[in-house]
Amino acid sequence: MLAITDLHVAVGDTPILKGLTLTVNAGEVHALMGPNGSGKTTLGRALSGHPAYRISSGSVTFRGEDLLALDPEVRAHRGLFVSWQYPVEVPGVNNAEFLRLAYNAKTKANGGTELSAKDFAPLLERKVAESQVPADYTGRQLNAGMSGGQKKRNEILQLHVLEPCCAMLDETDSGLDIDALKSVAAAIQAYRRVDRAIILITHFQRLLDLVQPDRVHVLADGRIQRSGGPEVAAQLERDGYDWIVRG
Amino acid sequence: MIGSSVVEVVSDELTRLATARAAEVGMPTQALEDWRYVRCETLVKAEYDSPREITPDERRQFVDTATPAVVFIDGHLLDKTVWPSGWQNLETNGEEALAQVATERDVAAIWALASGGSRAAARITGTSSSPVEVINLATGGRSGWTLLLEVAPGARLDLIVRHQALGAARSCPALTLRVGRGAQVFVSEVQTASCHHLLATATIDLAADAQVHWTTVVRGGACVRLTTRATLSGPGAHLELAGLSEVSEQHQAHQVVRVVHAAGHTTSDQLFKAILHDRAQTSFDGLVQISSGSDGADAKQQNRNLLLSPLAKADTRPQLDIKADDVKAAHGATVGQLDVDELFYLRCRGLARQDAEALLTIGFAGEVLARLPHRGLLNI
Repeated sequence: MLAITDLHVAVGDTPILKGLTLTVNAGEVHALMGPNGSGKTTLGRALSGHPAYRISSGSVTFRGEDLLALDPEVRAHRGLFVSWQYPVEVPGVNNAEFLRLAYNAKTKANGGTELSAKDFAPLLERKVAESQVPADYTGRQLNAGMSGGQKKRNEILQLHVLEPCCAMLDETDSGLDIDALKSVAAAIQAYRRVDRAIILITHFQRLLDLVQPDRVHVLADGRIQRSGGPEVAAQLERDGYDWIVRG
Repeated sequence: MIGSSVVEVVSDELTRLATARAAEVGMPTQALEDWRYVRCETLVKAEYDSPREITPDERRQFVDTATPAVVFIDGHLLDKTVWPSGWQNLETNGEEALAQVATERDVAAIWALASGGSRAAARITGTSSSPVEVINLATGGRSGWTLLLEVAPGARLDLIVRHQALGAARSCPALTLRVGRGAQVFVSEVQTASCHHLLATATIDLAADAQVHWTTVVRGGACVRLTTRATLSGPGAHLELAGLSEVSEQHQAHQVVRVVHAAGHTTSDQLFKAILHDRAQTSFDGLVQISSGSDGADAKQQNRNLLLSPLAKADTRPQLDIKADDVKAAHGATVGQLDVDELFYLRCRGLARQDAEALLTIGFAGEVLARLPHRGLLNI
């Protein structure tokens, strides 16, 4: 589904990703771990098409298409969803209306029928239940006035409404209390399907206990330094990153 | 209950003095402190249409409202105007108006008196939550009017003020609110029509525990300048002022606000926003004064400007003048473009750039529009 090959990304003159290669197939859950500043969030931004992240070489193929040639919104229409580590607050924009516009934009791009606010309401109600977020989220402003954890959960609601085929979730577990973590993990599990791929960026084993990954990768110094099964995460939890960074 | 007929306050002496005062003050220029941001040549060189009768269609569209209304056309009250229920003629002291003319320095307020338009005054009792409209319709020429509303202690007034131009016209309305102890006033004010030169003056006095919530939306006058002067005279008085101007072409919209906390434990909250397209120009000139001895006063003042064109220009001057010790006062101003991160976030979720920009602009406006009690009625 997603094939990243020898990707080099710089912010300004500073190279962050230095030859990252990663392949994620439909039905798989990958965990991407790594010390702070290793390039995990940069990968998400680059895949999203952020203009400040300059791709100097490498390729990204998404469902057979050159992802890097597409505008950010077209990437979303094709089924890519990248959650933000710190979701931006958009004051004055109603959450439900934003979700409807985003849903309609994707639906229209894929030849579907757009929904009126009235027709969207029951769908949204179902998605609120699926994503296990409090019902009052829909009436709130888009991330504005929400706590860090609430913003993360709000993005899980977006995930369920937009139903992307590939989701990269950037430290979705940070800022969550124990109960919220369980809800978010259950919502991610509910989203998991044989035709969908998930990349979980996380620092913590506890999310991976709840959402078992198929593959775990360790990113350091802009490259994948090690890949393996769930045992890699267990070893990181025990020994930290030092043994990988030192080689 | 049928309201009583409006009796206009007639004073030839006042008109004569105001006309002399207008000649003395002359046309506004940018050299005047309160007019420094206004491109005054627009007013000086303006050629207005000749005032005319309104057509039956215009009457149906703008005058025949479902709600009770006080209608001014080119500065004159409609014939046989009847006050809405709960309103009565207020006998005013002519001396006060004469004194105001003698000392008034703002030409817009003088023009309101000097234009030979109607002068009316009413006392409002009762606590009805049904809105009353004040309609300011201009077909052409230079007009002005004054309306003094004295809101009785404990009463409630819900007012919709519409400014509408049907031709190139200059209109100088002056609305004065005297809000009695514990009374509540809600004002939703809206201006439309691009050919309008609107120079409006609002004067508000709040007695103890009185509340005024006044929200203004300006949508497209060629030159709009709104002046609000408010005095919180009694403890517990609360004033909320909000405004949104969306300005395009080479139009200009200016907001002058003077709020005086003349008593302790008074609160004021101002939020003024502007959205600028094309070569539009806006300004916010706001001063909050907290008088000596007004301890416990709490004043907030915010001005936010969104530039959607590189050629647009927004000036902002929020000012605090605090002469009391134990007060809270906060003010802030921003002039900027749409937030790049917010724009990118919306695009990442599938919104085309243009749709994302539109949604963010609506979001920017939403904070002010949410304060309008009659958004549906105002067709906003």
